[in-house]
Amino acid sequence: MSAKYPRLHVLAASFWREWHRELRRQAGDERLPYQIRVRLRHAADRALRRSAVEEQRGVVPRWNRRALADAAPTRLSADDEQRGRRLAMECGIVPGQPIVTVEIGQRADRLSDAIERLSAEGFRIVRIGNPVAGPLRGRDVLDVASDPRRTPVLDLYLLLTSAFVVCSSAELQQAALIGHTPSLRIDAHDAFTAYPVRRDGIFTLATAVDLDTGRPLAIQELLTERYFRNSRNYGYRATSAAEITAAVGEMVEGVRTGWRESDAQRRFRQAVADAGVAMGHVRHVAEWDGASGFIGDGRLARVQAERAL
Amino acid sequence: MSRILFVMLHPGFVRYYDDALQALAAAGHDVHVAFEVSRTKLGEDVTARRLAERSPGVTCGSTPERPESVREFLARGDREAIRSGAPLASSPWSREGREEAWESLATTVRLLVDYLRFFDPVFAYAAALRARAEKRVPQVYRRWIRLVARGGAAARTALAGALSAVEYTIPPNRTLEAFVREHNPDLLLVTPLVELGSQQVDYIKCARQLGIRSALCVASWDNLTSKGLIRVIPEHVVVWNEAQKREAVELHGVAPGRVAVTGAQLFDPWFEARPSRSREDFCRTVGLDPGRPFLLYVGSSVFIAPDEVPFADEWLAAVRASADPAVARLGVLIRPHPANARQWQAFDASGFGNVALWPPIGTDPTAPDFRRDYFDSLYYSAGVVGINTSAQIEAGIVGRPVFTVRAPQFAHAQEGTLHFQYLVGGTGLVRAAASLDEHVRQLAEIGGGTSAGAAGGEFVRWFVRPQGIDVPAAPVFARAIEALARLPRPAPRDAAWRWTALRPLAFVLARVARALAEDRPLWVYAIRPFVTAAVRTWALAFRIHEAWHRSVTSGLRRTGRRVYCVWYESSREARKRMRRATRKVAAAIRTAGVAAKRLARRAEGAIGRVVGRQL
Repeated sequence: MSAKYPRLHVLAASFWREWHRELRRQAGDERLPYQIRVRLRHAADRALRRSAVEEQRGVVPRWNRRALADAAPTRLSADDEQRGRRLAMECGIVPGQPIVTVEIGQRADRLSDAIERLSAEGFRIVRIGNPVAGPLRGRDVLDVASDPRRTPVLDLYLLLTSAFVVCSSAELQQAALIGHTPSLRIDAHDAFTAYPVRRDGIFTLATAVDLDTGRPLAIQELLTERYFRNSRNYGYRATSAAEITAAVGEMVEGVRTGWRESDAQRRFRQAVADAGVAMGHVRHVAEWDGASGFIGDGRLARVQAERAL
Repeated sequence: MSRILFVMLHPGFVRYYDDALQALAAAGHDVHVAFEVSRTKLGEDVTARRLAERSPGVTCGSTPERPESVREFLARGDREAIRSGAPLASSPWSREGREEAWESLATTVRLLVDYLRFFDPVFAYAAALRARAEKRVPQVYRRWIRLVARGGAAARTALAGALSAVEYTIPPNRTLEAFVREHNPDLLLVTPLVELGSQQVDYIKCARQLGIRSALCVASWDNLTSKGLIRVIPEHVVVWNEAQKREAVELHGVAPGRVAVTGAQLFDPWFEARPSRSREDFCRTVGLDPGRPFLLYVGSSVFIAPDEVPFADEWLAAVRASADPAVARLGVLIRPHPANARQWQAFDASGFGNVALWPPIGTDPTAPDFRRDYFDSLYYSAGVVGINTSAQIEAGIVGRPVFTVRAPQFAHAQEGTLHFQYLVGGTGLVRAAASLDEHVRQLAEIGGGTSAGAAGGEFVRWFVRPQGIDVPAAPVFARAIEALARLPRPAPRDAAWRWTALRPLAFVLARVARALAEDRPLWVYAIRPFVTAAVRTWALAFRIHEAWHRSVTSGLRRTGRRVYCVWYESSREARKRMRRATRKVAAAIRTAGVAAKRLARRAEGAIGRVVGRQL
């Protein structure tokens, strides 16, 4: 899928697109003979098709899933690690205590039960990221997100030293991936963006709703070309508190006793990989390296996979 | 009695002046409302039709079609569009071609002026408004405008002056002139005039030229601060309140003496309205617990809140998580903005309890019950919450406490707009919170009372009914219009000779503007003459070939026909001769046969006689 000179393909796509428009413009001249106008329109259509092909060739995947799966973990430099540890201690984190970092962009209240569960399991919950989603309440919660001492180094240190991270942003999921921190991504809008590369990653999908009809889409419908062709026609309902709690339970189980996957999860991975290969021409899928046949070793949360398949 | 011509952008503006127009018609004036574009999205055409049906003195129609509307101008420059190739329907030097070029120049200049205004320090926080104006400007101009705008106030003023000069060189549209002359009104009203790139400027120019008094009626509270400039200032500007008068004077350069303050006539019905049913009935209809007070969440428009549902989710969660049980147990009625209702399909109220979304998405906003239901929602609510919407003003009129939360995702529509400051400023009626926590604490203060308090009343008096809280604005507006229509007509003002002298130069600009409005990369303009020449040569060659083909074909056909004709004639003749020869041969044979028979009979007779003699 990757091109040798992607920039050239992008330029070529732009050229053919403009050429298409110019031919269409010329074809609009009613003074020209009908046959010439028809041939100009056909030429314009060919130019548009070439533009689409070049555009496809110009797509550079944002990452290489296979390479990332095999990559060694990224670590902080000794200085940064020391600085991060010192800041963490200043914020009240006891060295050696298992922590779970949490970043949530929307409705923090959905995590209440999950936090209870984590507290019961002996984890300290540390909130990082943007505090805009409202307060995260719980007895073992430490809100670093709204702490004035918060720095990017502290966020990264906490992320890399935590038992796992619960996040709703793709950036944090990817940061966890390169640091080999297990991650639970919640509220993903599609499987190709969020499918975890490593075995210790889990994700949940938000419920997509067709804004024309109000019909919630089945998870399998998120693997169709139609969904990606008209993505502005969908709204999203956040993952429910019960599903988040179940997914957090699955993470705890994975961290403690090893990562196992159910038959439904395996089949869902296969369905995503197959859909990726079939939709290699869809820009979004190509961008997220979903067309290579290898989507990752992670899983859709068991609770959703069993509902989907 | 006066003749009034009211030019509106689309029928959606009727609702702002419904009562005032009826009052004018009832006073015996002839009012003709002309719409530049039709619009049916929210049943606006129905509103206009109803107005005409209710008042015999009011007629509705459309304005003359423009060679190139702003919408067409923008569509032609849409780089994302696949099929935006504009047909070259007319020669660039034909009358139609020339008019198109002038319209392109006019729209370009107006869009540039509108974009430039958002670099003024007053709009320092209005990044979203600036971006909206920028999106409409063809790309080729954007960097130049940004460059000049960064040069400071003097550079901006100089550029605005130059653009204004270009505006004056553009000749008035003849079709519009004929339209205005045909109606020959005593007063020409326009609204909104300040839409980005608005072509209503041409009506003001025509009125000037014909010696007709003109006035801008400011329709809504954000018109003078969130849209474009009044580029050619009419004789009068009719506004709601002193705040808008200040905007007209300071931001648009209107002389204070030209501004008339009449109040916000569109809110009059809210002062008179009474609930249509009991609270219990209402709560049962919408699906709320009648035993508990409820909050009304009023949705905002697409520009203000493109992604409102996640915020509403969070807001509801914060209300439910309130430490005050009275707040946590409040019912919540969500009322989507009619033009931004679609996104609420994704809203799921089931997780919260005692929350309802009403009216259902897709309800016809022109239905007779729509406004009545809306009033009941406001009237029975304990408080009203919204981002930034005129529904908050309506809540203030009904006397409900009004709240908002300054959310980072809506900063563009709150801190980023000037009209929001009226809601939350010193005399504002909205209680703004910096966070959901603070907001929930504010909600706790609602307690049992449901009044907006003195602040709300003061705001309504200042912003909605500046002539007195008991004085309806529609009759004041109608009286102001009547007074303007009675004033003597101004002298016709032809364009100054210097602008006329500059017109040939401006026409060159118009042709360039027409081409650049397509918003294509510059290399396209560079190759276009060659492509056009190639296509025309191809067309010529095709025509020659066709003509040759036609002549050769017809020559062959003619020769063939002649050959056939000769062949046909000759063969016919031959057949005829053959038939004759055959007939002759047959006759000869027949004659020979008869002779032979005769000879035979004679011979037989002779032989018989000889034999008889011998016997």
